[in-house]
Order: sequence, then C-alpha cells, then structure tokens
Amino acid sequence: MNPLLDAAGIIFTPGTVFYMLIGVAGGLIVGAIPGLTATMAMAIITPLTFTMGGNQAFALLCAVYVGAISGGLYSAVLLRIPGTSSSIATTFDGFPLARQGLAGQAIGAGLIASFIGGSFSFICLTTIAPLLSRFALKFGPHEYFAVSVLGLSTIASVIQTSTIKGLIAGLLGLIASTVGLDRVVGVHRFTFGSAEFTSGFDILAVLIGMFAIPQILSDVGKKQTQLVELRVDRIMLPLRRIVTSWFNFLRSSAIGTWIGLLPGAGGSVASLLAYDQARRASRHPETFGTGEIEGVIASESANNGVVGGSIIPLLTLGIPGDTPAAVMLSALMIHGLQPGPLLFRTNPDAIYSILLSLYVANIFMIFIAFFGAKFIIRTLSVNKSILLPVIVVMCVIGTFATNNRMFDVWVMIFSGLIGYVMEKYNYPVGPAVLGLVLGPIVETNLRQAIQISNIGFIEFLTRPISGIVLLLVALNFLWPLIRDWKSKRKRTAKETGIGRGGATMLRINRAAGMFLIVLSLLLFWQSGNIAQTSIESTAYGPSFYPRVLSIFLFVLSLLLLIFPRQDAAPPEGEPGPSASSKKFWTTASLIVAYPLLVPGIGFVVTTVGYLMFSFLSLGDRSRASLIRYLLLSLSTALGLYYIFENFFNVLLPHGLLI
Amino acid sequence: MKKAAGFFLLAFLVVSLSSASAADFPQKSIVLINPWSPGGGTDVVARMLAKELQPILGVSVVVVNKVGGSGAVGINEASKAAPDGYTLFINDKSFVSSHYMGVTKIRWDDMQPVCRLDAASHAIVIHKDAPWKSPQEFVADAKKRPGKIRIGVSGIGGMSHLNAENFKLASKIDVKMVSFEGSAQSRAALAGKHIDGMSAQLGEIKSFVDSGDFKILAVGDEKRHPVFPDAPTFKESGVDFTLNQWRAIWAPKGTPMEICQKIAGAVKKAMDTDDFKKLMANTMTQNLFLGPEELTAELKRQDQVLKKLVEDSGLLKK
Repeated sequence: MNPLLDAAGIIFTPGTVFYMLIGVAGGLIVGAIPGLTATMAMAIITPLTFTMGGNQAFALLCAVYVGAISGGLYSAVLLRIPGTSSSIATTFDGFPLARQGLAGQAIGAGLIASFIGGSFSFICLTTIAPLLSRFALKFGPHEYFAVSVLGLSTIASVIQTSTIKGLIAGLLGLIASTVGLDRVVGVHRFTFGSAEFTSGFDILAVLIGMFAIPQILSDVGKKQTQLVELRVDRIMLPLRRIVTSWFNFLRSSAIGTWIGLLPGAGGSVASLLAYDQARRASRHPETFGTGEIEGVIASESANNGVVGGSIIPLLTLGIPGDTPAAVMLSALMIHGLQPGPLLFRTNPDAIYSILLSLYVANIFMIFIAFFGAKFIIRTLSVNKSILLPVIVVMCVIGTFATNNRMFDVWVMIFSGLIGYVMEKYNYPVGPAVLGLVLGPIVETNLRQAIQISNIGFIEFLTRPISGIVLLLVALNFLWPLIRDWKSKRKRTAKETGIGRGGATMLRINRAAGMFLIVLSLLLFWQSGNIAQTSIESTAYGPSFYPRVLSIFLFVLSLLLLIFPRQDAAPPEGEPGPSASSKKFWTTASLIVAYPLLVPGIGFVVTTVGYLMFSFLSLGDRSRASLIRYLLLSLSTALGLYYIFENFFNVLLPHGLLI
Repeated sequence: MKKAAGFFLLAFLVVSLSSASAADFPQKSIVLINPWSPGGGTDVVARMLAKELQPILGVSVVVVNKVGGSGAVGINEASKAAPDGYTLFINDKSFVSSHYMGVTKIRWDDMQPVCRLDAASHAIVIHKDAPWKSPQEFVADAKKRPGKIRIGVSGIGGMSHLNAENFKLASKIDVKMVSFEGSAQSRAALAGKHIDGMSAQLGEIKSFVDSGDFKILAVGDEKRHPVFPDAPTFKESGVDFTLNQWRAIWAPKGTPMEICQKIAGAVKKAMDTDDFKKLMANTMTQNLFLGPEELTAELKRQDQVLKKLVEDSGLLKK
C-alpha cells in the first residue's frame, strides 16, 4: 500500500481536519499574544494527544507549530512586540508600516511570506531531507561559531542610529548572556550566590520586556487614543509585488530552511540573516527600518522556513532543530516511535503523515490568518486605556508561564525599564536582545571548538565551511566601512551636527561613556573571580569570554567618550512624547508594583487591582465606565486564571488570597 | 464594601479547599517538577508517568519543567514546596553527585525519597569509521597520545560525564572531555565526526547503532546487554567499573510517610501498564522500582560511591 495514500486517509478524516483547524487557529492566537510561544503551546498540547492515535497527534502538533510561528507576525507589526524571538526582524519594518496606516499590506505580505517560507521548507523536507541532514552533520562547533558570529555581524548592519551605540547595546546583551551557570562546565558566573540567577536571564522575558514595556510607556504619553488604525487598508499584497519580490521570497526561505536545519541556531538567527541579505540585495538599502516591505517578507519567509528546516534533522536523525521540534521528539517517543536514522524505514506512515500535515496546516494557516486578521485588528483597535494594561497582564502571565516562576516576570519588568532608558538615549533594544540570544551560541561553540581542536585556533580557517563563513563575516564588517568611505564626501551636516537632544545629549553621551568604561573595568576584574575547572584549559575557560567582552566594551565606551556627537537629527514627523507625565509615572509605578505584589496577594486579586487602577488612571472616571472597567477586570483576571490553570496546566501564584 | 466582602469570601473558600488529610489524598492536581528540559529523556519518562498516574490516582498529574543550572533551579524550587504530597520531584542519580560538584547546596537527603523508577545502562560509543576494534585497542591508543582523543559528554556533573570520568580513572588514560548541553548535540557531533566518542545512555544511541552509524565500544554493566550481545562490558575488557543511571521521585522534606507510600504504590502500578512498558522497551530502560525505605538505603550507598568518584576525578567542590 502506498504510504502516502495511507497517510492521506488518516489526515483527511473529519476528526483530524477538525483538530488541525483548531490547532492552527489556536497556534495563531498563541503566537500573536506576547509572552506565549510555540514551544509552550506544543508542550501543553502534548498530554492532550495521549488519547489520540499517533498520526492524528502529530498532525495536531504540526498545526500548532505552523500556526504559532506565523502568529508572531500580528503583534510584531501591530504592537511592535515580537511574538517570538523569530519575529524580532519583522518589527523593524512591520511596525513603521503599521504606523503609516499600511498594516494591511504588512500583514498580507507577512502571511504570504510565511506561507511560501513554510512550503519551501516542506518541499525540501519531502525531497532532499536525508541529503540535507547529512550535509548538516558537517557543521561542528567551529562552523556553528562561524554562523553565529555571522549573525552577530549582521546586527551591526541593522543599526539605524549611531553605530557605536548600537554596538554597545549588542555588547551589553552579550555580557548579560554570561550571567548564570556557565553552559560548558557549569561554574557560577556573576550569580551572586542566588539560585535564581543560575539559569541566567530568560530570553523571552528580556525580549518581551525590552520591546513591550518601552513601547507601552511611550504610547501612554501620546495623544492618540487608538494605537492601531481601524481604517486599515486591505489585507493583501498586490500580485505584481509578489512577482517582483520572488527572489527575496526564495532566498529568505532557503536561509530559514538552512538555519532551521542546524540544531541550536534558532529562528531569530534565520530571520535576522534573511533580513540582512534582503537589505544588501536591495537597490535602496536605506529604506530598510523605515517601512520597507521587503524586510517583512524576508523575516517572515525565513522564520517559517525554520519550521520545516528544524523537522528535517528530527525525522532523519532524531535530532531536533529547535525547541518546538524537541517537544515533537518527546511526543514521537511517547507514541512509541524511535526517531533516528531508521525512522524512514520503520515508520514511513508517520513520516508521511507529518509531511502531509505540514502542507495542510500551512494552507489552513493562510486562510484562517487572512480571515482572522480583520478580527484581530478590530480587537486591537480598542481604546488604548484598555488595551495597554491588558497587554501588560498578558506579558506578565505569558512570561510567568515560560518557566513557572515569578523571577522571569521581574526580569521582564527590569529589562523593560532598562529598555525604556536605552531608547530614550538612542540605544536600540534590538541589538541588545539579539546579543542575549546569540551570546550563548557564540561562546559555547567557541569553547567546544577549542576543546575539540588538536591543532589550535588555525582550525577555524582550515576547516572549509567555517573558513568561508568567517570570510563572509570579515566582508560584512568591511562592506559598510568601504561604503562609508566612498560616500565620505557626500556626508551631510546631518550626521556630524549636534542632532537630537542638543547639548544635553552630548553631556549624557560623555557620562554614559565614562559609566561604561567603569563597568567594563569592573567586569574584567570580576571575571577573574570566576572559578576554574580541571576540564578545560584555564586560558579559554569560563572567564575568557567575559574578559574579551569587557575589553570590547572598554574600547567602545572610550570611543563614545571621544566622539560624543553620535546622534543624527530625528526623522521628520515623529512626535515627541507629549507626556502628561503624571500618566506616565502612574503607569510605570503600576507596572512595577503589579508583579511585586502578585506572589504575596495572589494572581487574580492583584490583576484585578492592577487593571482597575490602570483603567481609571488612563481612561475616564464616570460611573458607567467604572462598572465597565470592573466587569472587564474581573472577567480578564478570572478568565486567564481559569484557562491557564486548567487548560495550560500553569499553576499561577496563589498568595494570601487567590 | 461589596468588593471587600467578595474578597474575603474568595479567600475563605481558597483556604478551606487547600487543607487535606492523608486518608483522602489526592484531592487536587499533583505537580511533578522536572529540572531537565522538555523533550529530554527524563521529560519523556515524567510525561508518560503523569499520563499513567492520572487514572490510577484519579487526579491530573502535571509535569512542570523548571530548567536551569544543571538541575539547580528545579532542585531549589522542589525543596521549597509544601510537604503535602501535591508537589513531587523527578531527578536522576546526578542529584546525589551534583551537590559534591557545587551545582547545588541542597543534598539528596534534604528531600524525602519516594520511589525509584527506571534504570538505564551506559556505554561509550564510537563512530563506525573509528580505528579501534575493541576497548583494549582504544585504551592502548589513548596511552600513546594522551589528551588527543575527544569524548563527548552531555552536561557536566551528569551521569554521562561521571561515567566518562570513571572510565578515565579505571583505565588510567588521559582523554579530552568535550561537554555538550544535551545528548542530542553530542550525538550530532559524533555523527559528524567532530569528536571521537561519546558517553551515553543506550536508549539515546540505539537507533544510531541499529543503523550502523555508531559502534558500542563497551557497556558499563556487569554482564553483556541482551539487546547488544556483541558489545563487550568494560569489566571483561580489563577496565574495572560498572555504572548506570536511574531516575527517582522525591517529595519535599516532611511529607507524611503515608502519602509517600500511596504515591509509591500508584507509581508501581503506572510502571506496569502496557504503554509504560513499551516506552521502557523503546528507550531501553528497565523497571527498577523501589519503595521509600529501600530507595533511601540505596541512595546512602550511592552517596558514598559517587562522592568518591567525584573526589577521584578532581571535581569535588569544597
């Protein structure tokens, strides 16, 4: 019997189709809500699949995976909050487009890109999976190091404002990634004796914090009552545009599939690299970051390409390409399968059902997402005095649900405050988060490569793959320098003038420079206190990387001190925060107080309290509104409590009250 | 006023619902904390156990991953939970050894052992293209070029690492340990020939041995493993040690013994179900169930063995 027909027979039953529809829709919603991730959704669904047959279970998991990765698009474009770290690059251009009233185009482009990216990776999965995975095995720690450094080098090119400030932000992210138990030998680094710090800063917590909180705080001060334009243009991308961008679609999908193939690289690296490549290939790279559709296309094609890419090594070698695929692995094992090189032979029906489910889920995704888009936009078009506090609650509960602990929520809030200060003084948050994401990959692979190598550092260049990639990295750094040198004569006063903020900014930059110099010296000194182990040579042990980073920080802060004229003039038309600063401070204090009180008082009560205070401070105080606010607070808090405790099996903190 | 009354009512309800006695345990969901990541070996066992315990205990059992710090975060959280039987903890032998390596200040006896689950055999595995045909050849080669052969381990302080250290000590060789974050990365590295061998549980590499990509150098059991009769044991190859890995359930200190016995009984039944047996066959683990008292005795023995191993390997943290 043809296994493909068998698989089709299982997939196209009413029950499975129904589950897949729910899965895609649920996945889209989860992906769209900041704080909830694809991994979380899949881990939650897994126990629910125990009663289903194996193939049906996998179909559901694939549906949720596809939906969740695609869903990150909405909040990235509409709220500038990436649904997952794979959608960071989507915010660069998606959000400016939304602010220009072109959210429909951005979402339309993103969804089509997601569909194409996913389909491309599934076609690869069907046709050349074993070939790809054998080639992927040639990637050892040297190669991973090279690829992640390539990712880091692209950070430099996505910086919009001052390069030095952007690099400092990235460096701070890299430094933050060293906090916790060292990943290679397990020694404590900068943990100050606290058990909570031993796992470092959760990427999701920092991501949500740095993107959401500053955005919320600055939106509070703005005069507009609605953040999302209700009058949205059609959710579509003109066919003409799709055709002219065909190479971008193809290239970005390929990058996504390839990076997804490499276990541990992750969606954020893929979308970032694709974005960068699109920018370089474009005839007008300077439009990227101001609302260039090609950027959205690149990022979204790539992150959906990761879906298929990460499943390839899972099915051919039993090695998951990223965390959602790891959850799939455990689901496969629980259902009695043995993922490994022989799976194609022992259980071809499972392979084919997974393949078919991916294609079908992708198609469901694009239909549901298009029809749902109008609904989502309408939901998000409510008055911001209601929307913003609810978003904060979602962020808090989502961050808590990642690891079931309040510490992550506090990290989120703290990162948010730091992020706000950073953005106020022109330090972009994107590079900081990317530094946090890429830092561990860079360091771990560097040290593993050194451990493995019997011939020393030169091996980075003698190995063909890592050598070529590192050459690309060098070119990446040289290209903007060459470009700047060529256009030196054309440099306008805009770039060397006083620019935004005037003399105050100069003083602040100098102060920041000095502060950072002190920080880098402190870091260098503290790195000496990190314990050594007998497993690694002391030269390249756990203290090596923080030391290197502190040296870079020292150099960059020195540059900042010497060249404080960093900031270009602000782009026209950008309204400064016309803060009624009382609202700002109230919001900020509420946001900080909320997670601090949750463990003591309990989630539901604190949430109701937070929402009530926020609604009242931001909205109007009439009697009718009061009742409306009360109903909304109670239903939100209780609804979330019920859903998270019973469906998601996340035990929310119960304090003295509930 | 109404709001205040509502809150008090709510509070009263919550407080009254949370008290329970051993006789009618369990009355609400049980949380099983797993300090290892989702999708890993322990996670699969935990989730399977949770699934099978549900009908037996009549309440849902929820696996919660609290990952980080080579197990430290999960250990910390679990030890602070209320000793009412509604929070349980799954971990493996490394709970004993990781304390001596400085991973956590908490010792295995700072919590109440409940029952042992399954055991897994360990082996050193090499790539099919490797030049060594037997453990003796490997040891001889390692002595000729000390510090050049690379063995991958999945996680410092874990049993895979200690197994490799044990091998080093017992055969008096000097090989390089390369530490990976999990067995999946280690597998990928070996498959790509970036390292020369890896220390792993049999279940983790079975499919690669079946497909011919890997060869088992030797297993760390007393006798040859029934599924791999061609693989020699370390003992018979002149390297005198045995080591295996097993998982167990703990409860916070002070959990009443009655409740522990009840849980242990339920787990025993859960491990006898067809699905669980199938999982064990798939992952090549054996049922090594022990109740609370026997487990405590076994842990005391392991404490001595593992402490000495950690010391001899030079990894002891004062």
